[in-house]
Amino acid sequence: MARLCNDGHGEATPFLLSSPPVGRLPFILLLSACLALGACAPSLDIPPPPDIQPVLDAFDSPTADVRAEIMGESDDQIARASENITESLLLRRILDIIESVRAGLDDAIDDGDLSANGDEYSNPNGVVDIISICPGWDPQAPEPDEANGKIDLTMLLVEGRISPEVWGTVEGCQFLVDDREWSFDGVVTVHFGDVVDVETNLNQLVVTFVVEGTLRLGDQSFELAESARISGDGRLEILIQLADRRTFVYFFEPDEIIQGIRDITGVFGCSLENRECDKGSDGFFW
Amino acid sequence: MRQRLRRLLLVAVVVAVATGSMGLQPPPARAYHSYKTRLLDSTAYSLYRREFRIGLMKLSYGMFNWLQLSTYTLPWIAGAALEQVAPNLELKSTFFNRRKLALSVSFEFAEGGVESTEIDNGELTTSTVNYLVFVTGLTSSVRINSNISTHLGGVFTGTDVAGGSEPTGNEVRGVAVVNMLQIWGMLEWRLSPVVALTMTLRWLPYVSDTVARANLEIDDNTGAIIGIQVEVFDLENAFAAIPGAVFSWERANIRVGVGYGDFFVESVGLVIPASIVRNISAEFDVFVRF
Repeated sequence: MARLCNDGHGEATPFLLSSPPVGRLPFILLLSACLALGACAPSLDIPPPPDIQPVLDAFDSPTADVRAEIMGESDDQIARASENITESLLLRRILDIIESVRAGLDDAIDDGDLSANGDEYSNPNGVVDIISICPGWDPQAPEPDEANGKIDLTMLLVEGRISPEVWGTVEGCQFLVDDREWSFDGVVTVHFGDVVDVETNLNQLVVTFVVEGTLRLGDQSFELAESARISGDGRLEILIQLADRRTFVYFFEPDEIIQGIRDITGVFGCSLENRECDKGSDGFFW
Repeated sequence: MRQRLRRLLLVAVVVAVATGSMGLQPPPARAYHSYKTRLLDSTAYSLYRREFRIGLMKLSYGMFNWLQLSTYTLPWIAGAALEQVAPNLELKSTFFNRRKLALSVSFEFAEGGVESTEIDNGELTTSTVNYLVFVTGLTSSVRINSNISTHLGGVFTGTDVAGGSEPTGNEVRGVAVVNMLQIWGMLEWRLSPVVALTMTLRWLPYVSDTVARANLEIDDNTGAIIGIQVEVFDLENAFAAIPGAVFSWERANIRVGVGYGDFFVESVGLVIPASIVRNISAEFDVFVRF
């Protein structure tokens, strides 16, 4: 439709104002779709860690007053848990993986600034998804093989530091210890007690584990549902929860010669082998 | 740096005054800012069919009366310097232009790389960062009267940045994403057929946190994907107020403006913080339209 339009300065200029062609509609719709797509803000899905505070509280403040009767019920569980943990080296293996990632982060993070893509991100919050292919039972295997199982862990970054909880799953993880074929399926939560600087070697910390799953050694199978603590000097603590939900901690010093219990009354020495505890005047056998 | 910017400011003012004084004289030929020939930058108007714009900053072609294709020159030049193709294309559609109102939508993508060189522990390291930018915009222009028009628009920019070279020893490699929304308004006052004064206000009401994802390879068996969310620059509420002028002759056009605030890079819809550009924000282009 031709019409006369004012050119803005009093001059009449022929000017064609055409009707909007139908052809532009798809273009407009496409742009609208792009706009809508672009409007999706980038966001990071930071999952909440499992709540193991009751376990931490139980380690710090056991509630049971351990006597012969309790040890009579619990000694097998303690011995089995200790054996499984120390012989399979499962917890140590998981901690080693986390420690190796921590060391990698230490290389990437300097004074809380993460270097990535040539940019530095100050005090980042975020999530680190760790995947480790298990070594399998063939020490000569040339390459990692997912058929050997994997450990899938989640770690959080809080302002450039490592959040105290690391958690995840262990799927059909096969590994050798002293030529014995172990495997584990289950879930694990690791707790460092507090937020950790990326410079801190995790092996120096007291680390709490909550592990649940099935541990296999050859044809044998063990259901594992343990809460345990290991520290850099090799000390192992196992949390025992009684049927009435009272708790106590059985600990092994590194050489395993010194063992003992921490309960509501305090700390005292015990021996699983001799089935006795030296609780002062209240010492007992079972 | 500051001296250079002062000099730039001085040159811009001198050019504006000189060309402005020329423009205030009676036009030697027919009118150039006309009802039909409207400002193209920061407005809803686009080139007519088979019209060209060839400028220092931007090349455009009117595919249809309602669709203009453009490409910005700086990314190409920067890409050539890095021996890397850095394509960018903008589609702008003036889908409504009736009576006093014009509306347009635009979509742009830009892809390329930026090289940075650093001295780390006495060693020179060079890394390339690849970027992918999507810019979508909606603009309205209202002709209040024959001399005064207002232009209002919103631009949404999505940015995707990825490490393009092997990471150095203390680096992780991955991608980062940041989105931002820019609102702007421009008042246009046509002093003469040659001179149009403009006053542009730009504001950044929304900037997303930067979300970056990177790979961390520990050993053959173990790796990690790091996802972080962080505020890289405090750009929210960044703004600029830029007085300027557009001089238009039969074919040649000069657009110049110098103002205060953060620097809004029109070609990629991004913003350089005021702290880096000493609060000087500028607009400039020289182009012919035919």
